[in-house]
Amino acid sequence: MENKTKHILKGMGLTIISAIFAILGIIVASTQNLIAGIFIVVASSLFWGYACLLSRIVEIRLKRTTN
Amino acid sequence: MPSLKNRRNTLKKNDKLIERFAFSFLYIFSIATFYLLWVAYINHDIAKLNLYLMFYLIYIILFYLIVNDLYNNYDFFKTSGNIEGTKLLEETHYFCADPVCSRCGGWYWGLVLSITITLGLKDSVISILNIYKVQMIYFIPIWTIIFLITTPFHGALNFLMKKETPNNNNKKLKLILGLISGLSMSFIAIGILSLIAK
Repeated sequence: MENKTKHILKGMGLTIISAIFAILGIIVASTQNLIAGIFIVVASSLFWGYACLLSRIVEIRLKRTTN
Repeated sequence: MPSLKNRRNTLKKNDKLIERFAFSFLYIFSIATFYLLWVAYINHDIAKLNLYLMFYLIYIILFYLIVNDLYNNYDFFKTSGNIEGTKLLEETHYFCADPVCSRCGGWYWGLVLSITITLGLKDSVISILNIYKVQMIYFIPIWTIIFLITTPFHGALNFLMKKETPNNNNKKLKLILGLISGLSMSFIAIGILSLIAK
């Protein structure tokens, strides 16, 4: 049960970090330079993508341990 | 279930997991941040310089943690003999930064390269377009069609070739397709930007 909450917190943290970087990118796009802001928004999707991958990894790991 | 903090072992030297996982994102972020740092340095804006440096350091540390975590999971799956999990991680492939990747043949690398070059030279591209009086009404749909042709073709190639083919003759074709689709994406962006500016 502890591991489950740990994984949930990890995924949530990754999503929030992704959102923070995306907001930074939007701020840069509106104040500094449009292209650099778009690049930062694109780069922020790394954390989002890893959160999606992590959910599948955890699913397989938990299925393994219950069997 | 063992702890997630177990250390990486010797498997990391032999496989190419790290290049397949999202290194292009790091390249894109580095390019954007270095540009912003350069602008802040020219304007003698120390506060902004420190802010961007801090964000860049945070990004690099988080990237390292993600890759480390990925290797921990991969080692766990390998040592426990979990075929499903090993397959999942070995077939993970998005935004790799390998120009001679056996899976995508450098498609993502070409995409990122041509996008960064074309958008970096945005002003000169727009001035060239203005010299030859390119009409944006036809310009955007044509490049959209080219983008649609070059992009799913890559997926179709992957599907037909059963993903991993060591003796792959179509690597250069895939790289060129990636370059063209990146070019078309950035041309679409430039067209929309110039339409907004009018």
